[in-house]
Amino acid sequence: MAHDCSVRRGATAIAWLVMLAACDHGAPFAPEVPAEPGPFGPGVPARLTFNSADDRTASWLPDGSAFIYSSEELEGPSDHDRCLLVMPSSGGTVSRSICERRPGHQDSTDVFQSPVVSPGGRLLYLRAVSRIGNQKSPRMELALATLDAPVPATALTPVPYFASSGKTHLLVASPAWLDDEHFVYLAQYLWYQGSTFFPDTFATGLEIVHGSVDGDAATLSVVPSTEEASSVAAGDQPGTVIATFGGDSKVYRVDLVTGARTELWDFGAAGIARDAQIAGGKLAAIVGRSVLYQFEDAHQQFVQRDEGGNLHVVELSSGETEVFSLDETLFRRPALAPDGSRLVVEASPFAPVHVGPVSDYNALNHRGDLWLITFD
Amino acid sequence: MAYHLRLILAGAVLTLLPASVAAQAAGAISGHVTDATTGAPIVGAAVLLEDGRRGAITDSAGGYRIREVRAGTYVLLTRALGFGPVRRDGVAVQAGSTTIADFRLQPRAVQLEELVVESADPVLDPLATASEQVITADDFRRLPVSSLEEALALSAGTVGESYRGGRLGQESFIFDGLGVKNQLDASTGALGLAIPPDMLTEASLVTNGFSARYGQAVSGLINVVTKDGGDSWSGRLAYETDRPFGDGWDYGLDRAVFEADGPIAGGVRAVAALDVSARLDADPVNAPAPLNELDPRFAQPWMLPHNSGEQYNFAGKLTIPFGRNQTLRLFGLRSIDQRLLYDPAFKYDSEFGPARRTAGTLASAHLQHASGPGAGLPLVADLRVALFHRDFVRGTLTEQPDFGFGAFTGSRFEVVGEDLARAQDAEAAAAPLAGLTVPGLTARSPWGVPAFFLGGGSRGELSWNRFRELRTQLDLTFPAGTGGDLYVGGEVVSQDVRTFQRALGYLPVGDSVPAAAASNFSPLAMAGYVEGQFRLAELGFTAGLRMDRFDARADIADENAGARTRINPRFAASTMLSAATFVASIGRFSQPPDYQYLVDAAFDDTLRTGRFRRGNPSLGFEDSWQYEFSVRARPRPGIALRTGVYLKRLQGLVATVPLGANPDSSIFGNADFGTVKGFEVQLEREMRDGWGVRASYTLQQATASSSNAFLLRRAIRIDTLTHDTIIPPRIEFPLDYDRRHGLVVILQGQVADSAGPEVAGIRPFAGFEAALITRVASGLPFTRRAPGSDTLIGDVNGARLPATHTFDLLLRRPISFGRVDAGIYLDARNLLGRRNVVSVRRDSGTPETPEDIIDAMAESAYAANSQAIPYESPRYRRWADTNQDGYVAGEEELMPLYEMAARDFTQPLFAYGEPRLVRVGMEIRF
Repeated sequence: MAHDCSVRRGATAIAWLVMLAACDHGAPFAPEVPAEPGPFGPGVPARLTFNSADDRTASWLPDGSAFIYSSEELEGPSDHDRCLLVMPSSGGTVSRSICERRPGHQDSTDVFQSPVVSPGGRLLYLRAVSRIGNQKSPRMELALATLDAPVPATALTPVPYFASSGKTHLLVASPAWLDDEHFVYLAQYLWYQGSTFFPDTFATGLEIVHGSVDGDAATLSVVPSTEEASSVAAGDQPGTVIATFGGDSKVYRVDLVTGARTELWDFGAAGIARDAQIAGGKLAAIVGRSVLYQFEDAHQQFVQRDEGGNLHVVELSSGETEVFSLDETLFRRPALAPDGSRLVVEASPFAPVHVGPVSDYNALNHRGDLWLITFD
Repeated sequence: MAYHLRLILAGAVLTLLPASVAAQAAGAISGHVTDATTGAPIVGAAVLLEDGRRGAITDSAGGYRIREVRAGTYVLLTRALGFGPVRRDGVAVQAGSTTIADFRLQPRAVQLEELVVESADPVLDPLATASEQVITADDFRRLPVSSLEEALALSAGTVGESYRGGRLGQESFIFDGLGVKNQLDASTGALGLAIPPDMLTEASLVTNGFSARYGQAVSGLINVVTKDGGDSWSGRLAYETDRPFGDGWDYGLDRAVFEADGPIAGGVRAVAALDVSARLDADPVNAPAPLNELDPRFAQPWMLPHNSGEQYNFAGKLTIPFGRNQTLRLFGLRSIDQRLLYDPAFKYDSEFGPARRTAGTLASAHLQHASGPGAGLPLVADLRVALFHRDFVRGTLTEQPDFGFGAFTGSRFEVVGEDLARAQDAEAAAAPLAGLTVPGLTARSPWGVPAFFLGGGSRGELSWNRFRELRTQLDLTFPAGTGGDLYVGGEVVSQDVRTFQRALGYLPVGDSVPAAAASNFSPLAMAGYVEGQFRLAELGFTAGLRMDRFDARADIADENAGARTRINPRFAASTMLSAATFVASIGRFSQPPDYQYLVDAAFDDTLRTGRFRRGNPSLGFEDSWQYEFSVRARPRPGIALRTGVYLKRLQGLVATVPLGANPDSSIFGNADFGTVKGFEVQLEREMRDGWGVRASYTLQQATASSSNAFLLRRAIRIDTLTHDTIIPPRIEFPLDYDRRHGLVVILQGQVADSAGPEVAGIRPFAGFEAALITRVASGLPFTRRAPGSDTLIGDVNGARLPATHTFDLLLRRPISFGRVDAGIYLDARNLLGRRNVVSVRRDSGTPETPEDIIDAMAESAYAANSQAIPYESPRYRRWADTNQDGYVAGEEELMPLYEMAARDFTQPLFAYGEPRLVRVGMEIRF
């Protein structure tokens, strides 16, 4: 009996030992980073960003959970870096910041802008580096990375570069993924005007470029017959893109191989259309207002000067159009969510198109914020 | 009820045993063999250890002495012609002491009667002249201690790892008679080896009068004796944890211990031990919870993030009989210590917090020849060859470790730039280190504001060093009659030192970023000694002479002074009068300086002070003369009283001295001197009637002209008004570990197996054990500084911390099932959770930061970043946006945040001693 009892005790002891090991430990405190869940105030459109810097070039992540945009870093070293920020689809607190933190970049202005993410997570963006205080001609490149590891990135092409069309592409704008291996962007002509110390930057579209990624390299080809394109976006049909052209109120489907245009929508008397986007059966574009298309001797070409306009959103199935127009505000570069349920757009104070130099123009009038429009 | 509480003596637990000066790793067995019928001495009787390989033949007085017997328990066999043989089990030998075993043999025709084997009274043994405090392997199990360091900290005169007031690093480890020391940075770094306690036969701390056989220390020896494998297989398996205790008591501890030993074949015996432990918070704090509910410590004040640690210790040993009189012992020990290091600046983005890995390896071979009984010249010769390798790295992890079971990661911590450091490629390291990024002011703090707390990158530190040595040591022991021994020996140590340090590694080396510092040199050290120990009646004498020599062999710099030599005499005399033994000793002890002081950019220092400090390859020995007088008495059977006074004169200690006129330029030199004097008393009630207690009190004063090696010692000053040179009088300041009063009381008890009430056939309290340790100590000194400056207020170390006291408790309940003994235990440290102040701010003299300093910090931070925080920023806090305009802006809204951040950042987390730490464990012995 005594032996049985001791065996029982032993078994109990082992069971107790196993039970001990099975308990979970507590955990140290972890910081709970407060995150605001939506826009600060109600209304449509709702303002998303309140910082004093310029927020630009938003595009949506493929799953529509968030959008990514470019904004100047206002704290830390005064090197005027622009970072890529990720904000949830409903707005609120920025959830991620992608900046150039690598060694050796504290003494330069590192600008990341025009980010777009492919369905497979590839990240394409324009990267520009210049000496702090230098406001002209930064060293630029079209950079390819992934959203998971955005820095460092592979340079697909330096910018400027000589294109197969014989033109010099001085700037890259409106990149857009067609799938995981193909993308398009608008090649632009770039110039500066204004004072030496406060120059203003202007750009106008040259032509549309189609890129094919192969490993860490890309093959770039100019889409035929796209001279004076003013914007490009992924299309709603295979092999096509959505594009606008200088001085034109129409939005076109453009065949990537032939360059053939098919009219998708005509905003008519509302004015010049640009920054067109299509998603979820909706077409969004900036139309009219502070835009000027003219031939300029100084550049020996037609130039479209654009400070922004009204936002038009068209339900393509019904043709129903919703116009967002605010007296003191101009909209630019709308970005439609993949399902068309939301739209983020740059909004900046109203400014007329300036042809002549304005010394403080850049400093005062180009500050843009992002606004959110949610469709029922 | 018919049970009684049997309280067993803590004297067996931790005894201050006076030690035979030479035999710190071994003891001796001595005695007389007589005819039981006539009392006449028996000449030529053989007294043998059980295996017959060791022993002695009695002399004309019937006396014998078996030397250099490793600590342990033995069987003795005695034979003599015409007499019946005698076998005696359980003869215990302790390192450093002589066990007396007298035999009375019966003529063969007569029936065997009583045998007499008795141990010498270690309290009164006049040949034991060193002050040695011993802890046995069994004591590790019975006391609330988990490591050798914790056990030694119970010894009189210890403060952490400082012994008798000395600086850190003034001790040396002796592993089975083999000296081991981290000669590179012992004063600021760990040895890198941690032996599993289950591997030990015993360990002891020798604080004075240690043998001329040992060097490399001026304050103490930590003597470790590992066990040999037993005659049959046995072992222990234990697991302990604090998992069941929940919030506030659970620090994520898991520890597993395994040990097994036994015979293999051909007389070869083996022992292996494994001790692994991990804790999610390896350095838990006992600071008060903050008052601000928004502070995450408000709800969870007990555990810190990014503060985990894990230790892996493996040891193994083979004991191989070799010929008739030789034994070969092969020993290996591998220790790995990995720590995430909590950094308050990174508490909200701890991914980039620093980490550290220390790995040590010791591999040794020990060939012992012991003359057999009857040898013409009884001789014990010990030849030891050992390789010690220590590797240390600290910096930013390449990736954060994943925890597996508890805080165990099972993976090796890899540090950014480690390959570069190991290659000592200072040229390549001039560029920013790949993988490091510039830290920024994190937005993840509850306060949002860009102040104090960092993230997004690390501090960019990379420190690596490696120390290797190959030691060859020969020790010979000759008899000098039955009452004495002669010891002769020496050692040659070939060493290799490599260091590398890079600061601000995310930036290129330039004007504001110092170049990487690397050093590579191979010192050579040698030592030789001769020592004699004699006993004449009740008088004992020990006289020794030791020669130490080291040569940095530095191609480090042209000014290297070459080899340095010291001749160190040591002498002790003792006598026994009226049940008391009086011992007087004097000796000089030397140790080479830490090699880190020989090269530029000493670890930590450059980063801490931002000042350049030049290494000095011409540094010489650090020395101490030690004088001690002690009395050991046994006023009543079972009661032991030990008391002594000592004086230690320290000379040539390394300190920082000015180099030229540049106030920020300095060099290490043998410039410091000091004095340690003290009085120790220990009262011990041995095992009797089931309970025992030991109380030790130390009164001590330790001073020096610099409190540590990094403190700038200015031998002269220039009067600011007259510009006269002022040579100040000799002024000694308290050393950092100058603890004036220390009291340790250990009480232990056990309920008898047959005692206690019986419930359903079980006696719930049978065999129940308890051990309670009480510590009371006066506070350590610290230096006051004027707020916001380096200007001292008063003298160096002129202020004192308050006193501290703790209670530690161990409760154990044995369980047996079948042939297996098991037990469960509860181990509690600082049982009452007392909040002991162990450090303070140097400006205020309190743990807490004064309000005016918090205000100044907040204002400064606000001035640096006063921009508005917009709504979408991760820094935005709606509760701080009092006017709800989408911005936290202006002084009215921002300043409260900066104040809260400053208050959070300055929490006195490590100003208090450890909190209550409780663990529960289970062990199985087989």
